[in-house]
Amino acid sequence: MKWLCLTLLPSTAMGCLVKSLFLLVCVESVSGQAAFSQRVPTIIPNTASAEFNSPNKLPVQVKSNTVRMPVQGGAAGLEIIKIGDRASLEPGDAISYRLQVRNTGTVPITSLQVKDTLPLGFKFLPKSPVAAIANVNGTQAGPASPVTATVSGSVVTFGYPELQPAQSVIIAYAALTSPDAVRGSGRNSAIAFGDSPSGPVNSSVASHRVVVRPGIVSDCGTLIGRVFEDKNFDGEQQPGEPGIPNAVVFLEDGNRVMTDADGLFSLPYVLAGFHTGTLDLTSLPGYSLAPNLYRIDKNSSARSVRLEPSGMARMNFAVTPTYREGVR
Amino acid sequence: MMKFFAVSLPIAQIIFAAPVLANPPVRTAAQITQIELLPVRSSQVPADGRSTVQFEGRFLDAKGQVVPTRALVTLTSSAGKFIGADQDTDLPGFQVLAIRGKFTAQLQSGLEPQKVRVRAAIAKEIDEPNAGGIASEQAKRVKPLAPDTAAQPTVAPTATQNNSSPWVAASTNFQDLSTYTQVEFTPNLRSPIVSGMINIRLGASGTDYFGSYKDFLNPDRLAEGTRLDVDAAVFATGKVGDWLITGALNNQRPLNQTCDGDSRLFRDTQSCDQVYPVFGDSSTNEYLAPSIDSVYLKAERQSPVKNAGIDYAMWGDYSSTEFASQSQFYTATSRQLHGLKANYSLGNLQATVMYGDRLQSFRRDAIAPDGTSGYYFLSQRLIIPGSENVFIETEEIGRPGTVIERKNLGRTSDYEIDYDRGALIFRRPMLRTEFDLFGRSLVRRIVVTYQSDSQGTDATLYAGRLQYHLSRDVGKESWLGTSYLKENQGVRGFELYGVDGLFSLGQSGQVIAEYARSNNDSLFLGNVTGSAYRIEVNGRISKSVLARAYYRSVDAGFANNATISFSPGQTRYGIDTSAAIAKGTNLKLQYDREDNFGIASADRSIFGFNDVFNPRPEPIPGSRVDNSLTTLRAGISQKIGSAELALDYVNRNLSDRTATNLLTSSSSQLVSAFSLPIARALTFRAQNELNLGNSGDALYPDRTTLGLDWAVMPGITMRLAHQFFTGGAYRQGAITSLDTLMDHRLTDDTSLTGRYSLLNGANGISTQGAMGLNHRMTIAPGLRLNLAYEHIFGDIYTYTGAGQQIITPYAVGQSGASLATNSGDSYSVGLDYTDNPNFKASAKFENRFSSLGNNRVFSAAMNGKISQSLTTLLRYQQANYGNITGLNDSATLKLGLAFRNPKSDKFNALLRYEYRKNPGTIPDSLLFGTGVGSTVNLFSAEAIYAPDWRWEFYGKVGMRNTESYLTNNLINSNNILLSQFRTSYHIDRRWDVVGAVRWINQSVTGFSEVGYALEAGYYMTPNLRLGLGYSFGRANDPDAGDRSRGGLYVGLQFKLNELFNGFGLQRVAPPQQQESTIQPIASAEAK
Repeated sequence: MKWLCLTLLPSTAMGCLVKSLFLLVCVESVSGQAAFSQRVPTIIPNTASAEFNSPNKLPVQVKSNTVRMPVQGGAAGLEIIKIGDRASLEPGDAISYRLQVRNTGTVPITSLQVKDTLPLGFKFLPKSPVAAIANVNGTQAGPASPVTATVSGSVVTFGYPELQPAQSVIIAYAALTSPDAVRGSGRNSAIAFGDSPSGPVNSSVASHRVVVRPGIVSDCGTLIGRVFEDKNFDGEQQPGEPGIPNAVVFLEDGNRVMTDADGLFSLPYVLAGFHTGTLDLTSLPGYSLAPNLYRIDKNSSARSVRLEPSGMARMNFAVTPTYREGVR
Repeated sequence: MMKFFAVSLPIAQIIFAAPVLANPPVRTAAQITQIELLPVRSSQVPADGRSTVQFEGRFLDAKGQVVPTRALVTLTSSAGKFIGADQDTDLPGFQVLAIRGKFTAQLQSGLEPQKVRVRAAIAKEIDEPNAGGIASEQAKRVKPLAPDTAAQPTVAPTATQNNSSPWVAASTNFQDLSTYTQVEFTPNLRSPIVSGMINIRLGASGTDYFGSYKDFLNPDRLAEGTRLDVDAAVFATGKVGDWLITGALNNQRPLNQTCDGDSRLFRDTQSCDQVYPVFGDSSTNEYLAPSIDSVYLKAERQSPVKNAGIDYAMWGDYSSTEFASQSQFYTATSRQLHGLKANYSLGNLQATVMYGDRLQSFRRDAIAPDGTSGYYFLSQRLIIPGSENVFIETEEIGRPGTVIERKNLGRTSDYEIDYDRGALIFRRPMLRTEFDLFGRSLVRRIVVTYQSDSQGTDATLYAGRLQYHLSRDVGKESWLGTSYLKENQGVRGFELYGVDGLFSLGQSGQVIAEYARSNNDSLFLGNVTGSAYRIEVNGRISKSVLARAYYRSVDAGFANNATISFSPGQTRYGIDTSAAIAKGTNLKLQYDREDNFGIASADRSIFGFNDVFNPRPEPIPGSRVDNSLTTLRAGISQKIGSAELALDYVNRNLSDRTATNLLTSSSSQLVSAFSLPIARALTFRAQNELNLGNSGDALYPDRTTLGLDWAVMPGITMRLAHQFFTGGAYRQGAITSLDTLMDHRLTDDTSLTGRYSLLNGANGISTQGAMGLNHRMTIAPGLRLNLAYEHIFGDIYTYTGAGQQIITPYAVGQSGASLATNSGDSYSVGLDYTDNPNFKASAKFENRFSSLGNNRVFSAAMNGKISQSLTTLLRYQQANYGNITGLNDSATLKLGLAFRNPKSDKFNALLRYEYRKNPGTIPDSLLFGTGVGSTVNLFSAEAIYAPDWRWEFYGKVGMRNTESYLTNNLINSNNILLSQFRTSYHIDRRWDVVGAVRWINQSVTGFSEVGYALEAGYYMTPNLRLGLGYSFGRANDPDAGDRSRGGLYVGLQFKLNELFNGFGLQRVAPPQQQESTIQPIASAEAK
């Protein structure tokens, strides 16, 4: 989205930029690497840009600093940017976060603290945190050194003694995910605060969302099955009961499975719960459903199976040759 | 021996001789002037995956008489599969044997109603009348015919192919020994069938053992009390009158929901996503009702209008094929969408409408390949699965917007994509450059359009198209169309409309005209409108004169990201003619004018770090360009014996009207080309481009190119080429390349998957995916080799008519012209073996070394049946990144074993082991410095043992070990263990009991979880079951605290195999009388 100003006088330009800042946030979030909660739009860090046609008709672009926070008044300010080293993870994976905290004010900030709240299933790794002073462009300037962290439940707090004006500190740390993480939001949020000569100062909230894929605790299981000629009508395939090739089974979600030359089929990625398969009798001319002498539910063209998450179940169809009247 | 002829070119460049069959090696074949291929009886069959079309073919001479020769004929089709025995599995396509000048074939229909193009071409002459049978013996005795080079099909490409670039070569069709015919797969008007389930559960919330793992013990669910779940899911298909109705509904979740809880467009999955590499069978699986929401519905019928295809209306996932017809370039839209679409033909008028919803941010990236198969990072992470279209475009070097060819690639068959990382890896190496038959230097671009996760801002799209058909006759199609499209991307709008038409001038020519206008909200330029138009005439003036004229113009403000690459702000027009003035002598004359007046892309790197990691969807505008290039070319080619000599005079005038004036120059070049067949299948080619006078040419340096073409087998040519540059914008440079080229008409090869599947062990297309196999030249029966080498000396980033080229990982939007080509070397060697029905193997090694670092790609796979019941697959793949440097390699090793006895169902088992290294690396990982990464070891095995009809035992063990590194320090190593068991016992005809337990434990965090369920069930009817049970779960988490819950539940399940009024109920024929020869296993105790 774009905030349009038809003409801008030099003195009004800043006003327009500040206004457009909030609107541009919505646009930029489309690709936001430093993802954020939309519930707290007033304190989103982001980039603003303005573009206009200069008198010689060439488009000219002006960009703001990388990130701006709401102006705190006075000369003290903190901004925080957060990124992760991966877009998605599975339980058991660790994710590394990189927090860049910058003193945007003109006075030093002392007793700097950065507080990060981790989502369900994320556990802070105490060995991981390191801190380093950064250059203006965000790259690491000095050697990394360990940083102290205190953990209380899901809240991790890092301390840093002092940040000079325009100075940035990078804190990198990692969190480990447990199987419980798939039940959480994958979103964590960090905030920096400290003391300045003009009073306490705090940053906006920087949040980062990582997509948690289920991995080992996947909801998907496997359905295996077969279509075979049942000679003893027990619904189970034994030697001497051949498989029927090219038989078609329809699942309740529109899956169409065709058996192989041995009458076998399989379906990966079947979600947990009940599933029904109906045998398409038109796909096996000359065959009909075999009666089942032992189970009532198998005397139907439909079978139902139940899968637990990442489980496996069998779906078998027993058929028998049809004999037209007078042939036999 | 072979004769040569010259082919005219639409665009000012070098003309080269192309070998074409004229004096075939064997007596009778010389008389063949035409192949006839016709469907027998009907050209329409239902798309049921079962019906077949019969074809009969004949070789005819000039008088229309059958030439009674013996030959191998290659058949390819755009859909369906040929059945019967392939006479030579080493050749691409499906081979049938023609005896006494006649052959027959059978094509089995697929499941999608569509028009299908079938091609037949002579692959080999067979010397001896008795040849045939064993392919390897044939191969020794037969002489390959030279590949036919005139590449235009005689019928229009089907809708599934993308609209061709406007820059395609003029067709020649002098002696093309192949033919096309068209058949139609029509909607399968089958008797109705229904499959569905209604499941009702009342019990404690958060304790459903058989529900999603995410909901089990979920703190939000535990906060609820008792919960009633009513789940209904049903699928039905069948005829109602002349219409085929297909529908599916799920009231709880999207139909396409994946294991991740996401919803994937078209629902299809890739082999790399599969939990188990093999399942021990070769069944096929298709999704008939794909929809990213809960509903799919389609009504379709064969249009009563002849050749009009199908009429339909649908809700679900679809491709926008009707909006990318052959006459559309600027107004074309190739997207993967979800929503409503309808198409209806009323007489000559065809109307199509579509509505797309749930759209996320639409992106277009162009990437310069580096000579390897990957990985290539897109500019975004978290790609919407299934939304991507991947193309390879070849463009003239230094001529922005000159797309010569565009190939649409298929997921699984051509590439794999990691949606979360936004990383692509191809099945074969993507060379940076390409030397086409005519000596033009072309660069390749990977163009990908996709949607990326825009976190909840859904967009919508509306479009409509009207097409009035002046003629629907096959090969003489003419129409006039108009289309309109509007997309609301959150706060950014996009509107595109225009008119277009295609008019066939008999069999030999056509006129295409198009006008397009767009209106969009640009991120940088505000609201922008622009127009684009083109008119192209292509035809044969007389028997010996071919001509082509074109005019194209695109405003700088015109935008369309869903079509072929173009250069905004460009006008181009010209004419070219080619005439055969005497036997063996050809004249050509070309005039081309290009005006550039667009805005060059700015170098993104000056906008800082952040922009590289998170680029905007549009190129950042730089300065305006204003230049023109006029090219005049006149040439003559002469055949001398078997050699051919061509001499061209080229005059180029470049004027640059910007202040920097980097381009202005005027030059004349003399281009001489020579080709000589030096052996039966080997052609030597040489070409020299010499600038006359001292001025030199800013874009066209002095060049010398030497090449060797080896016709390895019909349709496949291996080419070694070397080119030196001196002068011009490229200063000094050289390109060496070795590439295997495939006749693109053979890429419709539907017989491929069959070849790569094991005999009843592994699934065709997914195995081909897992194995990384791809057809190339054959060095022994069943053994194929793929070789490529490329050397580029000196980075090719120059100042072109569209501005300065830059080295960047990806160019966004329609700014592909700004991509520079890196210098460096790359080579690859690939081998695959498929001759044994029970064993297939492949291996590939690629290496690229350049100033940007190395990228080594290694993959190997083998797939086999150890015994009748035991199938295995082993695969290893390791690669760095083609367009980002400084990251560590990603690697995976997969081993799978499946035990499935085809004769008995007592015991089934699946096993897998997987090793992953850096599976999550993304460009952002660079910000963490070196030494960030992880390794993962995964193991799981599960089995079902069913000794008789009463008992079933199921067990699974899964383990995951993860090691994570930050700044090269091991920060964590942990294990997660999952085990679960289930037993069911059928007490009698109606009663059953089920017990199941699951235990999960993680080291380091101390997390553990237990869940179990016990249930008794009673079947009131064959389809209705009532159940009563108790389920319990407890999670122990030292940090977040423990939680547990248990409770009774009742359940009702109803299987649906019919809808109201018996729709879908299958009439069950009476079974045979009992005549079992096998003793029922449980007979004694059952009675």
